[in-house]
Amino acid sequence: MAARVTMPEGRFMLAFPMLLFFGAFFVAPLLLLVAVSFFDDPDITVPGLSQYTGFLSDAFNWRVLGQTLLLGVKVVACTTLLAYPIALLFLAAGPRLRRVLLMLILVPLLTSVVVRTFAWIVLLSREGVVNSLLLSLGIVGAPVQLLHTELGLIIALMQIELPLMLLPLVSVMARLDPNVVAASQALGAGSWRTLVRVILPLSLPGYAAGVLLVFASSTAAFVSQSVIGGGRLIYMPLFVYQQATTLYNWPFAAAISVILVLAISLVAFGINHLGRSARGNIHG
Amino acid sequence: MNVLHAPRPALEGAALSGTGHAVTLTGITHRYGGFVAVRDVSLEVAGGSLVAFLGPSGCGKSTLLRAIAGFIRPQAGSIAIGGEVVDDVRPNRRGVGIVFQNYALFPHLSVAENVAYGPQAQGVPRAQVRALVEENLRLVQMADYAKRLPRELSGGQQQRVALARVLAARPRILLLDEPFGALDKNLRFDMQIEIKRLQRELNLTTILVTHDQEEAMSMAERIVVLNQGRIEQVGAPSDVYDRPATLFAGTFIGSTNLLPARIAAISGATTRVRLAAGGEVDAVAPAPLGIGGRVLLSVRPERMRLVDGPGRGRVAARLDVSMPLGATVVHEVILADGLRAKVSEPRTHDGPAHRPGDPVHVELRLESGAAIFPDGLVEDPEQENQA
Ligand SMILES: Nc1ncnc2c1ncn2[C@@H]1O[C@H](COP(=O)(O)OP(=O)(O)OP(=O)(O)O)[C@@H](O)[C@H]1O
Ligand SMILES: [Mg+2]
Repeated sequence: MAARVTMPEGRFMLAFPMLLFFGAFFVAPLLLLVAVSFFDDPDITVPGLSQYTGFLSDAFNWRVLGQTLLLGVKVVACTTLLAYPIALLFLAAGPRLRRVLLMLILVPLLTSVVVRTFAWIVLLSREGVVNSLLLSLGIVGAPVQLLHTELGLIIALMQIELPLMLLPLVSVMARLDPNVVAASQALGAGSWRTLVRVILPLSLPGYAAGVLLVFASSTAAFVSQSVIGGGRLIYMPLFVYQQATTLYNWPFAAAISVILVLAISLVAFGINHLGRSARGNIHG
Repeated sequence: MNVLHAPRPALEGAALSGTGHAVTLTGITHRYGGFVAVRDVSLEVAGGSLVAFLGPSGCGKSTLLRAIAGFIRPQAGSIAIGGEVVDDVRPNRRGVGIVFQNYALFPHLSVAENVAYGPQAQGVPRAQVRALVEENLRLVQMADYAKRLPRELSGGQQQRVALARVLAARPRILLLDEPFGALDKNLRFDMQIEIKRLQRELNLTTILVTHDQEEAMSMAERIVVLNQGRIEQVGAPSDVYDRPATLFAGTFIGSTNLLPARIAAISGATTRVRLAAGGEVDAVAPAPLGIGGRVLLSVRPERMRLVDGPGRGRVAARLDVSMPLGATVVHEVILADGLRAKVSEPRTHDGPAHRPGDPVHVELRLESGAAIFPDGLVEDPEQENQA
């Protein structure tokens, strides 16, 4: 009995350093950020709501917010199209091919996002690999402008964020009972019905986690957005950066940040809610 | 209805068609990597019959079922269902229903949706699907649970839903991989009877995998004894029990005493052996053996009884312990050569005639013939006479 009583306390003590770290480096700065956003002047002397009313009353700001969230949606959609076939291949694969696939998924994560972003500059430039390929295949007659366009940014983000989609997806596939798939076939269902009625529903919790990660990560991908998107495409992170470092308007930068965090959290909450109701089904 | 490959019985047809489909396995060999799980198995399961696969864990029972259902493609051999080779037919076109060892219910679908899955996949009209679901859930006594999810059911309830699900799909062949494992004794008995009744009524060819030899003996018309991926014996339950073809079959089914002996004389079908513990008895040898050869005589405990004096077919022994087991008493005796043997007798009301430590004689009653096997197959002498 004594061990039972002391165990929870012991566990709490173990979590304490983490809580301390979390508090000092995440919660405190966040609170500071929120506090700063409630000042009306760049010198942070007059408290007020004018940053928020200012943000919300300007259509330009709304467009930046909308484009940022839309970028997240587009990247999520593209990684979905790429990730599901790979995940299904993983599901059908034997143990050896599975190990190879997992390696291939993980390797990109070992190089930094900055490195991968700059690699994409080389690939997407007018004389880059992508354009020479398109030209030599005769798909286009003249080099396509990919750098500093949303299309180029989405292509790059798709590759950069793909592992975040694949990892949770592959992990549910690995846990899927092969007998459940076999049962569907034995009951007379063809591949398509088995996919739609069994495999996809059972992969939903992993997919929801992937969507969450990719959405949050691509909407906040400051480096890729500014390097590949360039100065003409303005998304929320770059917007914050400009306000803070170029215009020294810290309260407005803080308010934009808070709005971005709220918007992403709202989407995350919705996805998480969907994922949770689906997750209950997989641990039968 | 698709009649190209594996026509599923039409709704009305299933119950009426009296033609069970035979399953024919020819030279099936399957390897997982380098490990041979099934080795050159050939077997004919008659249409409409119930056959039990009996064998120790890992002997390849599930692998054989998976091959018949079409989930794995054996490296060698051929499978025919109803006379038609199905090697290239996909699992969803074979009309083979299977209940998995782990049930494999669809975790995201309710009990009713699980049962409806098969008929829906086969394009059965909605009203008929509903009728099939109701009928089969009632059959397994799960009608009250139709709206629950599998994870809200006990193991035995899940097992019954798995049965209802496979029956609702009206397969040509029914494969049951230890389908009663999670059921308690009474429910298990009910379900065994129910399956047997259905199987008869629908004339449904059924293969039942089981560890439980009593289940195999009571349900199956034929038993296939498997060991290490190979068939050891195929026969009617009484055949396999009374005339085991191999030492393995003899020891795996029922319990038996293996008594070391030498061949004394051979006349026609009967072979006279001299037991190492003393005494001579007549027995049946499944394979020809030479005079003087060392053999093991397999005698079931119920084919022996304790008597007082010496005589023909009797062996001197000492009673070690007696254990009453319901209607029978199992005595453990120590034979003259020091080996132990089990003797099972009906329990009498007079109380025990012999007490532990008493010198007794064991009479071998071998009317239906005890089997003898060449010695040297059993490595550990300690285990020789109690398997
Ligand atoms: N996917 C697999 N990969 C490798 N080896 C396997 C695989 N499936 C089964 N085996 C091996 O093949 C042998 C036969 O397996 P199988 O599942 O057919 O046994 P079983 O007779 O059904 O046993 P049990 O009664 O325990 O269910 C076992 O030794 C098992 O370890
Ligand atoms: Mg098995």
